[in-house]
Amino acid sequence: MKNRIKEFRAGLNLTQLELAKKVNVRRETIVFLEKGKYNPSLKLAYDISSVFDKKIEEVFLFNEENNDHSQDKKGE
Amino acid sequence: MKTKKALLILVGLTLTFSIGILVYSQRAVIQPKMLLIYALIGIVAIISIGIAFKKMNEEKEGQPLDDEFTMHIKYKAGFYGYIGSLYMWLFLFLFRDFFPDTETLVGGGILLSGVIGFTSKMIVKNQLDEK
Repeated sequence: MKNRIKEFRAGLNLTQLELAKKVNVRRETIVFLEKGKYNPSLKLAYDISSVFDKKIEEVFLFNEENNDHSQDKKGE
Repeated sequence: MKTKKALLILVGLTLTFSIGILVYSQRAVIQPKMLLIYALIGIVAIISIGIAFKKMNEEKEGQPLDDEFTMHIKYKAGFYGYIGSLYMWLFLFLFRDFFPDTETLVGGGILLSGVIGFTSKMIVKNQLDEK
């Protein structure tokens, strides 16, 4: 799942550490999130979106092609 | 924070004391094979102390020690480490004749368990690429 964390973070002039402190996670977690190597929990996604004052779907770009559930629906 | 520092000092002193006793008991006649094991234990101890100091600094910065990402890594690495350790013990017992005594076998196994756990954590972290 892609995301726009880096872009929004830069917009607010926040460092990775500052963002990490705001959402109460380690800086390492923000690094992996920005690289798209880790999918956050719904709570963390919500917290991050709240910091940017955006909706979750604006920050985290969900690709429907990778969703098994949507593929099942298409099959039906 | 104070408790952690005290714990760190206690571990450091215990380690230094243990090494001192070992060296004294060997009366400076340390076999090359044993020297290798001592060096390995020393390296592990130095890395552990380094990690502890890094964690302490991060805590000072206001970062939590654990979060959902680190727990995710720990659970995954814990599983792989456990399976790896099972096979490691199996092979240790299969090749037990290579070890001079039981203490070396058990000590080596414990040390290898730690190495397997650490390696699993590194592998899981590096291969993390969720879709």
